[in-house]
Amino acid sequence: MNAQFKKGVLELSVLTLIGRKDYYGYELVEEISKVLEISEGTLYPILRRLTEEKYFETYLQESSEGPPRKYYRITKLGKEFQKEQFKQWVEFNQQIEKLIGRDII
Amino acid sequence: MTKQEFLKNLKEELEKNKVQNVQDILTDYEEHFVHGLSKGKTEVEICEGLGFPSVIAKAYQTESLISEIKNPEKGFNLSLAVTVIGRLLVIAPFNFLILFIPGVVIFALLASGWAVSVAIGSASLALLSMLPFLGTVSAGAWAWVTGLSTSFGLLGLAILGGMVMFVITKYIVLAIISYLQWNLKFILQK
Repeated sequence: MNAQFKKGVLELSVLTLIGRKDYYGYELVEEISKVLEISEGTLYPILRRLTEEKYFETYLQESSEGPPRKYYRITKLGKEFQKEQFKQWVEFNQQIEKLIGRDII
Repeated sequence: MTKQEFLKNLKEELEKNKVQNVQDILTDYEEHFVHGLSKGKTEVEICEGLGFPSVIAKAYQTESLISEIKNPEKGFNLSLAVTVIGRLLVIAPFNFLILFIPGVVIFALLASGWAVSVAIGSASLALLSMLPFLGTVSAGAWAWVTGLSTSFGLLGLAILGGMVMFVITKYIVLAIISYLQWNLKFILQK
């Protein structure tokens, strides 16, 4: 997929996935890079900023296999932000669709 | 690259870019390595997935600048705004092309606005400084009063103009930042 497209949707993807369930960093990176081929290390800066902006909160949880995991959980503020971003994404898609249509040339 | 090399490089790059909470950040990546290794990946594979430490460090710096400037509690910080704009221009030089001509026009308007309010302000101060001489002239009482009120009027006008210009400047800078934030998402990572 075009690199420019990926970059535009990364933040929304992170917000949406964590909105569905809590993830720890490695798991989330793995999930996203199944679909989007990205430089995985750059997901952590996004996670950190969204946490600093109070869209996520983190907690540690012991696991049976290996070390404790740092989980990310969406906050109420984060849910609102996700909805807003999603709305903008849908509007953007509709406008582009109007412009170029749905046909494959 | 091995895990140790990766973490060492990343630490150096983060410090070079003056990123905060270096130790916290490194912990996130250490955890990433531990989980990757437990899933049977090699250190080299994990490093390849993560990408270049220099790119990662730049991403941290940009993200933290953005969150700082978006933070409404800290108020408006002009020097920070200028830093962000400068950095974003360096990341994406094509912004120069988009912003250059409107930029020159906006800058000229802003500069002339400021110049007018400074000029009015200095005129009022000049008038004020001449008042003692007016007062010594006979029958100059009315001239004195007129001079005083004119100069205060001008001073008020200058202060008002300065305030309006400050607000206008602030919003223009914020608008430029919003634009750059928007296109930042398209340019940040490879």
